[in-house]
Amino acid sequence: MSDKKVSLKKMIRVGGYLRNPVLVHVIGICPVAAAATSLFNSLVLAGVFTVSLIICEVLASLIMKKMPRWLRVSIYVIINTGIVFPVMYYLEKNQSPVFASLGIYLPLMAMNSFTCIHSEKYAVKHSVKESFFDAIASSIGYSAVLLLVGIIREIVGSGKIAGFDIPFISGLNGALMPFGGLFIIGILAALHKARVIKNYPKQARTIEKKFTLDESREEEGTFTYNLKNRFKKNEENF
Amino acid sequence: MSSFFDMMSAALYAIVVQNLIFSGGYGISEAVRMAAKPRRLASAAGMIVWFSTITSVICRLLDFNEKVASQNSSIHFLIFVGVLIFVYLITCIFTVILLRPNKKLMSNFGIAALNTLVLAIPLINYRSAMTLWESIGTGFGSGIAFVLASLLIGAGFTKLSKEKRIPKAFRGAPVMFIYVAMLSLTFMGISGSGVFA
Repeated sequence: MSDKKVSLKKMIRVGGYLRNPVLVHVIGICPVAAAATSLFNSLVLAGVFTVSLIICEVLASLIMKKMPRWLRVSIYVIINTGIVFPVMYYLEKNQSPVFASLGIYLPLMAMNSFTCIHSEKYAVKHSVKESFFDAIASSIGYSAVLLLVGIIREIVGSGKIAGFDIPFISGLNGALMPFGGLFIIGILAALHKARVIKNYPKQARTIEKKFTLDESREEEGTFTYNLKNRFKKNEENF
Repeated sequence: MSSFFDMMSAALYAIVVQNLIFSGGYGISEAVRMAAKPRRLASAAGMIVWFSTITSVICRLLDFNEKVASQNSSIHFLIFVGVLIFVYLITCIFTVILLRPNKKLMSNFGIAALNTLVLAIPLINYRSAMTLWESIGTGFGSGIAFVLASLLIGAGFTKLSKEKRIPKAFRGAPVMFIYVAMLSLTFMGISGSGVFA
């Protein structure tokens, strides 16, 4: 695909909304399910994620195309670590409550599978501009889910919003645990799918096809991602 | 003998009492992905056991050094990532030289080594001040926990995908999330956590 056909708006609609990385492709679940327990936590995670994905995708497209894959993967982790470490160091030095609340989940952002999968399946096969747009679109989709899950869990789990108490709501501890996070993601995924079925019926069929274990057993790799055809299908459907 | 029992109890703890995938959410995306590829599950689990055990042992040994032990969490994180990347690269280089592997095997190395579960093990060991034997146990147990999680997810989702009574909006990923949430709740129950504040 040439650069001329790339539109950021379209990529946000497809990569961020219709094929949301968390709700549709089920990647990078760990931070969303376990660590996004408040608005501030989610903001920190979303910020770290966005910066690391943009840098990884742009660098992968720019200079890593000819490297062996096993070497590229370790470079993504080094880049992520370079972004996570200063944030972690700053929060720890200032004894921020976010640092205590995120626990080991902040350092684990360095190992987020999302960055590796996206850079490998998309960035190394496309131009810098396309990769940059893809990183922006995916970050918006991922961060939106992170923030939404964080806000819902803070309200339901702690009876607060952005640290302020909400009257008449007592916290339900379960919402702050990983199973609570997974349950909320499941409900959001169903709501998202219902909207896609209503507004984009053709896309909804593709999404359902993508998430079938039996299919992926026959053709490994299509289970989580088939980015190669992503824009071809996009053009057909819009 | 007590060291052996320390190791085994740490492994059992990581598998059952506090299954790291379900109760901590570590490596859950990889477990879902592997549930779709049962043929590659055994090799992926073996690799996870290798990387997590070797990394946690090296990290624990490094912590015996006073200079390393006195560092804060951020520096420890940096050291642990460094060790993990070192182990990964050494494994890859030796495999490339000795076995001349295919692309799939090498890509499996990446998935198995560089995921949240493998880095979580040394971080948990450090925070819980585990002994060397317990570190080996959690490293080994995490690989088994990964297999258990992938099998449970795969078996459950195969049945759910055949169920026609599930509303259309819930089919596919949404029902899978809710199913994994219920599995997670089960394991939280085993560990004795309270759901209500």
